[in-house]
Amino acid sequence: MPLNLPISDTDRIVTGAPTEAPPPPRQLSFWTTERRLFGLFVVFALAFSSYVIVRDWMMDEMEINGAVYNSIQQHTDLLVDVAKPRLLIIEPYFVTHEMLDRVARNELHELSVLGQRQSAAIARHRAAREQWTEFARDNGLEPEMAAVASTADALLGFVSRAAAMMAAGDLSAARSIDLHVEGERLYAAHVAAATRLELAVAERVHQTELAVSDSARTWELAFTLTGGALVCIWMVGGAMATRAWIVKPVRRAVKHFEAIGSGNYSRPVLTRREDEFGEMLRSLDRMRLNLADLVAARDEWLARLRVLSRAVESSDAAILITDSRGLIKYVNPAFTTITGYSADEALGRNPRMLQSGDHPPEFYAELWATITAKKVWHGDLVNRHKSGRLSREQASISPVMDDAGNITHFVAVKTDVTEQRQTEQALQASEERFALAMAGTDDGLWDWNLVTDTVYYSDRWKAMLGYDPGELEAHIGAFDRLMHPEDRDRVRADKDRYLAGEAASYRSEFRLRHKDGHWVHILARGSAARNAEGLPVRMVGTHLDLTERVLMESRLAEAERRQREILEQSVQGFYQATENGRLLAVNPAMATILDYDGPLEMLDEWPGFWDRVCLDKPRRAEYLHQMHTTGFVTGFEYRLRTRTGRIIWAAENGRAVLNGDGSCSYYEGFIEDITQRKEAEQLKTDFVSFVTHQLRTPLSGIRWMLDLARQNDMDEETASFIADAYSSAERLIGLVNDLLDIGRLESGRLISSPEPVDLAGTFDSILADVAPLVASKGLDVQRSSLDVPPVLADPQLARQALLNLISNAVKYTPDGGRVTIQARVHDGLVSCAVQDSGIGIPATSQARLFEKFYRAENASTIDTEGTGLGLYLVRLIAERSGGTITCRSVEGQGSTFTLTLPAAAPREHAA
Amino acid sequence: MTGKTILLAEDERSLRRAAEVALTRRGFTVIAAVNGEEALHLARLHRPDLILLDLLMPKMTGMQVLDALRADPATRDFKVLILSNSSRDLEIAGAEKLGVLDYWIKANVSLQELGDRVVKVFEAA
Repeated sequence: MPLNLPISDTDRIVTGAPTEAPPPPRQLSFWTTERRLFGLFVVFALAFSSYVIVRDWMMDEMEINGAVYNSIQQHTDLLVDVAKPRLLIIEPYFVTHEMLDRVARNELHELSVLGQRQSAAIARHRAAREQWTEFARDNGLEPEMAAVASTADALLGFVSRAAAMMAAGDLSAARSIDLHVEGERLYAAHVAAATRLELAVAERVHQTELAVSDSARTWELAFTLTGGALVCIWMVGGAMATRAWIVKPVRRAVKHFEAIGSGNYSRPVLTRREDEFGEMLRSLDRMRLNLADLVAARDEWLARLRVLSRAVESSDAAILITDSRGLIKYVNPAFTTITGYSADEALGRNPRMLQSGDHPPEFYAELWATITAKKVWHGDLVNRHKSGRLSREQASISPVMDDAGNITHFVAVKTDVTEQRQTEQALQASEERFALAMAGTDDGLWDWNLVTDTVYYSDRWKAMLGYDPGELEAHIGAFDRLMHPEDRDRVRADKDRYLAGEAASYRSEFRLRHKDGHWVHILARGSAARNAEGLPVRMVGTHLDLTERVLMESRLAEAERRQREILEQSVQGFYQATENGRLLAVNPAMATILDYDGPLEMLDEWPGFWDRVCLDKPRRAEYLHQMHTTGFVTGFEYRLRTRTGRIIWAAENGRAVLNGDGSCSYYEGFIEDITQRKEAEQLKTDFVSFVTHQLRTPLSGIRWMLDLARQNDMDEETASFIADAYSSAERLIGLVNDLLDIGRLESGRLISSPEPVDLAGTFDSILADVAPLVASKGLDVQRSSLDVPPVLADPQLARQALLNLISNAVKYTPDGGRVTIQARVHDGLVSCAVQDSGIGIPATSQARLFEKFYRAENASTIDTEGTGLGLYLVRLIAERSGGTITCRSVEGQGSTFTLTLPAAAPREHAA
Repeated sequence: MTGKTILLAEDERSLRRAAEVALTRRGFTVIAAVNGEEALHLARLHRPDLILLDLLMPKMTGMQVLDALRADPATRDFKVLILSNSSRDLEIAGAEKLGVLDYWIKANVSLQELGDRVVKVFEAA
């Protein structure tokens, strides 16, 4: 499924390339485009306005000169007319007719041309005169000016004189008139001169104005043309500057913008300009670089995101993302593997669906409280797989926050640790077991760091040597110091051989000095841990205190020595042989029995010993078979041929001595020469056989003759004599028969021919035999459950055994009693139970019941004629037939004898 | 049954007499032999319908008699029953090899039984 991971800014998974700080904006040159344009404009404006100002000034200057003069005169007159001063001090130049009229009319008593501030006035007058002189000279009015100057000087001289006279006080009326007249005259002269000048000036002004007017038009034209030219230049320059400085760079910038806009960040934006435009382009370049960085960072992010997505998708851990409400928004494939739910099944659902019910509600409440508190929850969860089985998962659940710190999602990462936990539990159990084992064992533990030579010695390790836990330094030196000097090299060699890989495990026996000073025999075992290079870095192992064992071994050796002595002195032959018969050891008695000079001579005879010694090979094979199946043989009798060719009978008790793994290590046997016993037995058997046979023939004759006699007519008394004689003869024959059977069974000469024997028929025949006795005693004989398979036995022997049991039951059951015969089959065996309500057998007699010639203590109360051979014969027959005979009895209540014989196989049965 | 001839080979007088009387009473013609040699001779002479043969007898044992009978084509098919008191193992095995009808032990057979059994033998035949 497509990965739609919510990635928050707080996510630390991706770290973008750090953005370089942009270079600081460059210091702008003063002459920016704007300022250049403004400067151009200012220059142009100054030029144009100066032209206007100069032109106006020149026009104004020429008008003023005339106006000022008139204005001053008019103003002075007006002032005098209004103020009617008694004394007027005035520059002679400005003295008017009005003033002089006033003085004449005596309205103005004194006309002080210079006054108290005469010198200043004179100075100003002079300055004015100089101005005027200069003006006149410049305008070609020197004659008029010179005239005015001379009249002015004359007037000034008059004024000075008049002033001096007024100051001296000798100004009489006459004098005043004189002065007045003189003054009038001088003044008139002056006015005339002044008027001339005035006219000249006016003329000149007029001329000047005309000149100025012409000049002005010329200038105006010049200025206008100049201005127009300048404007044109300005406009053209401006246009060119605009094109060069603005339009073309803008076009270039547009191309850059287009390139950047279309995602091509490779072309650098170059400029040498120091103005805003240059700065703009440099900013653009910086923007390009930043964008390139951002795009590279974005691509890296995307690549990382792809990798992370892939990691999440392919993670073995189940990853589950829910929104803030807990609804599943995403699961990865491992989730499906671990939980069994596909993505489609899981999306939009609540993870609660996985709950197994194994945790109490408080558990989930704590979990929810942790993650809603914006913390990460770690722990194990037992969840239910879709299939229903439980699985243990190690989970961590983290909240994901947006910029504002609000939880937007939860991310759960879970791994299936069912096996791991089981392994951990197993490991823990194993460690506990180890701890228990170490606590329970007598082994001391050591852990040797081969790099640092530090060693951990367990308390038991130290106790073995009589040291307390706090004693002995944790260093290999302690071990070396306690080591028996004679053992040191060998122990080192053992260790080196193991570390070199020549021995599968480290094992060494040595002696360490006990704290008390004696030597402790130690068995050390251990193994090494290796580093990645295969070099051993650590050895761990155990110490076992062998002192006891060493002691035991020496005692054992002593015991063995004694045993050997006993065997040496024994009259019984003893030998040990390998499984294939090779003799390992024989004692002198064995050699003597077999006519050898000594044991050594016997041991040398190999192979071929048993071939020569054994008289019947099958018997030897039987012995070995029994040895192999059961591990021992007792009382096995067979014939041997001695070295000198003598045939002897031997009885052997043997056993197989096994290895630890159960295989036969060797076997050993005790052999006794029983030749003499055997010969005696044979003699006895032959004798019995002979005697019994020889007895049987006349006995049979007696019986048959009596039988014959019974058939003849005779008196009652004679008949009873014959009947008694017949009965005795029969009993005697029975006894002889029993003895014969026993002899043959005991000697093994009896050849039995097992065949399926039908019990029902056998019982029929037996019951027919005992019927007269049963009838005479009035017994109730029951046969039940005889629906059993035939038994596999010799028919005669089986009949004999059952006959003995049944006739016993009949014999020892009082008149009117009950005899029950039952048979049942179980486990391939058929049990025939003969139960009677007879006198029973005392508990003390039961154990010996089946012994030869033994009769129960109470048997003679019923029958004094019993031989004690009947049950013994039953036992022999049962054993010979592979069956058993048992008895349960309560004295006075009756007995139950159970003869068990093997059932005939179905095939034989059918045959 | 009448008319059947039985050769009875038995050296023990009482046994021979008892059996002879009992079988005769049952209507058989009984020829008695006291030893093996006589038994073989009488068998060849009378060609009996049944021979009751004791084993331990003077002059020739029962087994020798049996061997001789079986060796001779003229007497090979004679019916023979062993009537002995010997422990049966070896003898039985040998007798059965030579094809006898049965092996009876005298001590275990009453006179009555003997007669019954012989009758049965003929009935079966």
